[in-house]
Amino acid sequence: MNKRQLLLQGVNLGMIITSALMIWKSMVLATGSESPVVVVLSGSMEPGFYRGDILFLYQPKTPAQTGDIIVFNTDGREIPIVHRIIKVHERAEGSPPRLDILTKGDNNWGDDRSLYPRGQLWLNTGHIMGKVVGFLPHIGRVTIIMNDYPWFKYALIAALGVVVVTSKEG
Amino acid sequence: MSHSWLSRANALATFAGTVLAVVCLAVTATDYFHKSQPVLSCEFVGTEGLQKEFGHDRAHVVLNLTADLRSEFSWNTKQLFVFVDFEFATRKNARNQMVMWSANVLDKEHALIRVPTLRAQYPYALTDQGFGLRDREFNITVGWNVMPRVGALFTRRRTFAGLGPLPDEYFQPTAGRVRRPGSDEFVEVPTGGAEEDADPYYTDA
Repeated sequence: MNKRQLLLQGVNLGMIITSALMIWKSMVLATGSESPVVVVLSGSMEPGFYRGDILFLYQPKTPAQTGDIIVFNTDGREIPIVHRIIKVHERAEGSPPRLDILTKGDNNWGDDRSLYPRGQLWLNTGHIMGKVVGFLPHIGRVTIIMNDYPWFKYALIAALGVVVVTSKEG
Repeated sequence: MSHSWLSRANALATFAGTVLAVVCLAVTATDYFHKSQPVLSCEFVGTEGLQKEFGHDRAHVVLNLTADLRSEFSWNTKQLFVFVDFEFATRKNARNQMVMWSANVLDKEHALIRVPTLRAQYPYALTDQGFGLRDREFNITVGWNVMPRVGALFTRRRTFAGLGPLPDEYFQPTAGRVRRPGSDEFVEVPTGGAEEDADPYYTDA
């Protein structure tokens, strides 16, 4: 392969990567959520959500209600949690009024206070990354495997790179 | 040329992925056409206790719930998460909304819900962020979160307003003895409805 073909393959690869990034960023803007698609990582919402299911998030304009399933992150946590809101106290004053929110996983025995940082009794609107509005089963299992076995992730990326670079586009 | 097994596998995978995506969208579109006729009724049986605890009030309320949600099940419904909300407003908080009871309904046969003495299940609790529960008006909202096999989640609610108010004085909770709404009269009610010894909420109707 000469230099021009190599360059062309490189640009092709770059186009694929930037298209994916553009689609992702558009979804972030459209949904208002910083992570519009997430994979369920734990069994705390079974039998509704299992590990490996995909969830679509949206930041609604209406304030949080009990019964909503939300994805939230508390300070100091890297991995967000998907649980259901079980209690809301909305202040009478303030614009927008402050909310105190308590959550619980459907499959958990107790509420989530043991997961919040010490001394924190409530979540508020700023902790919510999005409300779950859509669901797709099983598709995210690949992500779980890549998380549990990092060598698989590297092997997959390497294989994809080889396929893209060696394919002969017309 | 492009007849290698690699490009065939690539074409097959792309086609399969596209078909799968279209089928998923079609499946979730059918939810839009599903008509349901849920039938619900909810009564306020009475209050088993109203306590002043350290920093907040706590109420023990008994309801009588009947909910026929069988028509909510479509072919794309995986389960219904049914919950009962206790809602009230105070001077400090415009909205206080808390789940007091919930159930996971996995199929249509179990979607006829009858709980004649519905009480708060652990860890749900009826508390105020202050001491505002005496003589407090409240609403009960029954909600069901329809969780699909594929596609959009949505929640439907039915509110029963003005069932209260709660009694206007504190009294210690006694299981099985409720103070009837709007009176000082106490009556005995069955203690079923607590979660450990609960009869199944559904009936074989």
